[in-house]
Amino acid sequence: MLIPVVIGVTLITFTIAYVIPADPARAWAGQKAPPEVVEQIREKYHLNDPLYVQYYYYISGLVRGDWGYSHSEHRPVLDCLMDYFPATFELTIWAMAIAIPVGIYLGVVSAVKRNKIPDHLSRIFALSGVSMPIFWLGLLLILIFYTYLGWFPASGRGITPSHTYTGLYILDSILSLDFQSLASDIWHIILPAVTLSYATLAVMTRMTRSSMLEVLRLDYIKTARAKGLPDKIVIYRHALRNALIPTLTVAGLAFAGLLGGAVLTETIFSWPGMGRYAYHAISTLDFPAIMGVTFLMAVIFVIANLIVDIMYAYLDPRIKLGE
Amino acid sequence: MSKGALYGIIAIVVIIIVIGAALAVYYYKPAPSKPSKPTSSVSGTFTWDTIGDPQTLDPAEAYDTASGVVIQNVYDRLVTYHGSDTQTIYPDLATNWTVDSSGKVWTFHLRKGVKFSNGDPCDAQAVKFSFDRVLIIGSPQTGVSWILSQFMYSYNKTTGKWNSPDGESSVRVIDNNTVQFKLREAYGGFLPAIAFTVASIVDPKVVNAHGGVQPGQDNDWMSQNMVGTGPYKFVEWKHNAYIKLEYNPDYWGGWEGKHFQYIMIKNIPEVATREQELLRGDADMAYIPINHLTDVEGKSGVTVNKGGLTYDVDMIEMNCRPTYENKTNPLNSKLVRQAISYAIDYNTLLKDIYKGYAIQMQGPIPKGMPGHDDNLFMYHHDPQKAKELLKEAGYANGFTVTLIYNQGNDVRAHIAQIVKEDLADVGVAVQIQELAWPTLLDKMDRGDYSMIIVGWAPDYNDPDDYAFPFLASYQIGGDTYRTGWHNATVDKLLMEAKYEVDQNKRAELYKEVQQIAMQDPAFIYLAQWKHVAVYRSWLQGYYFNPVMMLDFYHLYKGE
Repeated sequence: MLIPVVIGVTLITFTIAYVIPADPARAWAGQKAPPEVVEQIREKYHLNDPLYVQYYYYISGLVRGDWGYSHSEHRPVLDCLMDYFPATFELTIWAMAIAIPVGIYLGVVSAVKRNKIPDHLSRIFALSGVSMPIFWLGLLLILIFYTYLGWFPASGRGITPSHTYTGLYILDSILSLDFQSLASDIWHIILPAVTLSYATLAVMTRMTRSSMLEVLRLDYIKTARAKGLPDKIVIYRHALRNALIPTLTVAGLAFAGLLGGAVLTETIFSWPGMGRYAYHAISTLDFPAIMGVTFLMAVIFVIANLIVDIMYAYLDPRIKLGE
Repeated sequence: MSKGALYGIIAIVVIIIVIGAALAVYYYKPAPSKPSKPTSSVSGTFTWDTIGDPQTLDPAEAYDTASGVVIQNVYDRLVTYHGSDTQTIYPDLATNWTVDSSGKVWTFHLRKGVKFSNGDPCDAQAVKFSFDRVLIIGSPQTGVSWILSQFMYSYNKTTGKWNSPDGESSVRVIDNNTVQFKLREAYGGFLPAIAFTVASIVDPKVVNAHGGVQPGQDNDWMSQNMVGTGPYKFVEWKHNAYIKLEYNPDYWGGWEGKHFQYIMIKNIPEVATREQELLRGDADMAYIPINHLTDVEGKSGVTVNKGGLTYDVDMIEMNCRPTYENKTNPLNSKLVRQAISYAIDYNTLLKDIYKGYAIQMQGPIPKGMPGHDDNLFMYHHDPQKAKELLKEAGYANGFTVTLIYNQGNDVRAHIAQIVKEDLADVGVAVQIQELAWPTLLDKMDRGDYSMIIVGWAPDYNDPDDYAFPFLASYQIGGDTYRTGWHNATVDKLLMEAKYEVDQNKRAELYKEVQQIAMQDPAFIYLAQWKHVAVYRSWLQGYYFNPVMMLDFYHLYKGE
């Protein structure tokens, strides 16, 4: 499945990117570059060749591990992605670590206490999450927790760990037993992670609530209650397990979506991640960078879907892998 | 998922947050929001919240502001400017120099005992190596080497030889502390040009140890690392996040007086975040655009420095070709271009759009730069005169033009609206187009436009850096904006001025060029920006020079 998806995605992105009415060589060289430099760039990067020839060069490079040269950064695309992807990945993991448990918990409470005060509060919270612009929330959090209270910093990833193993600062800090960097990095990630998580958390809450409400009406729940099982067992062990399936699908897609769509959070908190890189690449027609980010995202979406499929089988024994 | 598992996940997240917060409080001390008294003459960190990530740290390829500021502070050049003075060139790595009567042979005597931050000596060989390197590589990504190749012998990549009569490069080593430049052409702007970052002196040993010099190819190591003779040395570059520099204890200029030990240049794209960090004192200086200045102006502990004029200018270029889109192009008429220049309400633009942070641009050469003519004719808002000129040109009933500006530029978006209204008053209909920068450049290159709002910033302090790209024709290597404007007299005068070494004669030549350019305008000269810097009031030693980047060496934290 991975190969056709990746080929399809790269082909479509490549075609769209290259039919934009602009001269990429001019954009890469800058306004002041002499015409002969622009022509040299065109020659060097095969921009004068037909589209299919350029695509051939790109794919053959990709197969050899050469992701191309990022013109906006003057270094290989792979180097850029190795810098930016871990930053975004780390932020997304933390955002999901907040969004999934809190979202599910609020959804369950909301469903169980339907039309009561906890339900209303949870629904207001969820509604504001899906409707609040992320940049506004980010700025609000900076204003409250940085400017007025001074509890958290407003920008950056914190202190670089003494050793880099994965590019994930918190994990690297733990692995290198660098506690000063660990404290600084956790301290720095909290506001951006909360900002990034809120919209997903709200969707998780709404999704869990609606699927819980459906499941709670089913006969096997009535049976469980009739058997005299405690409410908590019925809700969390019997109902939630089935209700989680649609929530899980959303979580999987949201995880992959956050990886590519964290540009606003990254901009507000000056987080050096892939969203900002992709945005800059698009605005400067840095095609190899655009292709690199797209390719990576395609792979991540496929992997995220695969993990969700595996989780289905765990949650619902009726679903079997390989069928 | 069982209840236990769910509680487990929640518990883990809560524990991590609590432990993290506890550790954060225990280990991490935020930057103090009040100035601390420096314990020694070199202490503390200067934190600068700004925008943009350097494209490269290699002076042979760098052509953007974010790169330039780091390069200027880590590398040195032969000559430089001091403080706000743009009129005098001062010694840097060269202590003095002489020039022969032809203006082609320059001899520089170098400062003795200068070392790179790694301890390597900086001598005449390093100077020759650095200049030759720029021309051999030929800046394949940005083309910045044109600044040197316009007056120095170029390198032939195919033959591997220099295009000079004796096959040698322009730079000759006379002895360990003396270099001689034999220029291809005497160039009036030679000294200002070699004060630009492209002429920075690099360490030959370091370059040769990391890939050497390959004709037509960038050096990847040099684009990410630096070893210079300047006051600060490179520590770390986290792309899109920050660049950290540390003072170079062996700097030849010494460390008398107060200076910062570390420099932190943070790339923070969101203006609100920069503002908050400045207001809390976590940033010593921040880039605040003029439309946000009211957020910080008058706030306790914040200084808004409005001294001086930049050389940054805004103009509207006009397509002067006889036809456009297979029709007669009204802008081909000199009278029409004059009319449009008269139709613009400059005072309203300066007041409402530039908020008083600009003056009307007086011709192609900015005020303050050598060659600027203070008495040059300037267009003013005169709709009646504009209508008369249009009538005389045969366009009494007006016509339609498009006006393009680059996406995301709020100032230019507002300029476009005002220009549209102004031109409507004289019967010219304007269709505004907002285009992505690459698309705009493409249209400009192909001459596929009527009018575009454009800007220019200086490379070096010489009128040739403005007059030539604006007014010289494409045939002689000018017309950077592809206006299609061509005036044989101006071409001749510009070439003469370029290679004239008598600065008084040059000034006369540029005066004549500017007069022609104003009578037959290819541009509407809109605005020359004033300088604005925003920093904490404890920051001392700040000055502004329109042709230099921010100088970290003279900054320090006051009481």
